[in-house]
Amino acid sequence: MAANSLLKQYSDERAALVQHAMPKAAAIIVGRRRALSGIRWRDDLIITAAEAIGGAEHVAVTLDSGELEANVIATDLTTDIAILRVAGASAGSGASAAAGKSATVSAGADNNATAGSAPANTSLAVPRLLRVGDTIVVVGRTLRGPTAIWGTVQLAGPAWNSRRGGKIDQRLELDVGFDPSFEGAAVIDPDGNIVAMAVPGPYDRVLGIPAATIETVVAKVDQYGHLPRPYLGIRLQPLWLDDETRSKLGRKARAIAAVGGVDAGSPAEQAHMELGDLLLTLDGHPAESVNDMACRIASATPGQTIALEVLRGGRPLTINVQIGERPRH
Amino acid sequence: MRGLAEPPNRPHGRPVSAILATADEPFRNRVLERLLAAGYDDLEVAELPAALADLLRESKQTLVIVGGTWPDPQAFLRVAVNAGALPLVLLESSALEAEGEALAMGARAALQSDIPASSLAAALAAVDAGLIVLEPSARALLLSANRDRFAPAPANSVAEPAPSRVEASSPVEPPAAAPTPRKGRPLTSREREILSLVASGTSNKGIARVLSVSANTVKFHLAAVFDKLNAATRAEAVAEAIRRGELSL
Repeated sequence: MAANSLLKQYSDERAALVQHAMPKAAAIIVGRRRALSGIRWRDDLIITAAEAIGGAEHVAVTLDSGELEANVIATDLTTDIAILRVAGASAGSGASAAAGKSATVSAGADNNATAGSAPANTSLAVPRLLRVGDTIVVVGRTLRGPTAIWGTVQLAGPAWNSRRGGKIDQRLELDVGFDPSFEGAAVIDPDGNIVAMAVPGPYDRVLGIPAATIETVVAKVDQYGHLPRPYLGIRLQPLWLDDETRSKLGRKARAIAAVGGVDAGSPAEQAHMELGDLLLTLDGHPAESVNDMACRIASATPGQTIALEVLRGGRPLTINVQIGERPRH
Repeated sequence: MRGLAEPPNRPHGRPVSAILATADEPFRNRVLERLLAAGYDDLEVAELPAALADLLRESKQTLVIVGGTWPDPQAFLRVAVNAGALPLVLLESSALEAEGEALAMGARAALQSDIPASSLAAALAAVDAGLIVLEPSARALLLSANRDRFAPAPANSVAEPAPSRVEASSPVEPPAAAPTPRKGRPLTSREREILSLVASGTSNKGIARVLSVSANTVKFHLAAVFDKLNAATRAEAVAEAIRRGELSL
């Protein structure tokens, strides 16, 4: 066998890429036994999958450099991103080293001078959007050591809204041999960049939560010290419209969201929203359904003012509401 | 993020976890399905007695479910008993002898494998609390003239009470019939309050602090919430509650 066979070079490059990513791979132990993976995003921050964290407050983390404790500082159920702060690290430390600007996704920069050579650095920058067919490696960690699985980007779609109301920068589905220990693991591109976090999706799909989405959540936590949840204070229920009413209102959707309750002291109450108001539009866009409203409000920012057009007593009425923050205490 | 777009399969949030030890795949799948339906997401599977021994060495987990057609589960049961674990035996047939043998070997519960998920969950909780759980039919074991035949084997082969666990003073019947189904029922105001805190990203302990209750109480309420909303994860519960008009935006 030739000493420098293509097969050996291929194998060496693959192993080198995983080696570079390894310091970023964390094992996360929730409670007594639940083990998943995480990404060392910054010196003080570890990213993992929010659903697997459940209601935990502290977790044990294992890295190349040893074991440490981390506090769960944010779990975003809408994007499945959980942020852990290494115990002892102060808020915002390492923020200057954050990917920040470099995490902006720029499409089309496909040319790549470094292709073929081992990556110089595992960075958090996202130089380009993933394409369908791209080769990726998912690097995670278990208590028995680091783990890696190679795979392919099976689907690379546009930005999408999760059913939980999360704004996700790119729809990524990965063809990899996934097992639960890879939940929350880093998805690495051939340049050595962390491009996404791997999480289980519906129908046994493996989804990638893009680095840009993670950076957006991290930036909010850096700014506020916690993750603020947008909040109006209205409970909505769908009403089914008959064809006559639909054409009278000029609506396509069969259902209309009706206010079924207004929380005391909430932004909605302060804006005089009332029980029975029927939601027609939000900032000029037709309010299609309860779910649609939930997604739009979830992706708004506290402090932002939105215009809600409602039908009250058969008459349209526009109400401006400043979105607040869901009470935490 | 299984739940982001579709109802997920992976439940969350139950305090008790268990090891399912069996080489019988169809049996394993049936029991797993039932356990997942009952909210047990924290499950290990051991396919060989040696694997079970390893798992029991590695973890503090002590609830072990063994089963299949008797006497196949015996090897697993022996490993579990020797490791000081709390084994539950799920039997394929309703042979009283098998139940008696299993109990004599140190099983904490001997039940039919087709019991409803809710009863299985109740049995796991009872065994975890140190109780012994029997089928109602097994009452005969205790009362009949056959008592001697099924008397506990010598102490060295019988499970000593697991240290630090409460040992029941007497065997008990299975907990009362499954509670009335909660699916689809409206949330209580307390449950709504807790779910709103979940939606704001608060941990179980954080919720306990806010409401001045124990973390276990929070888990108990959340279990009821998940049940009512037919949800398996926090994200799914929040989304479903919003959809039903139970939780505000």
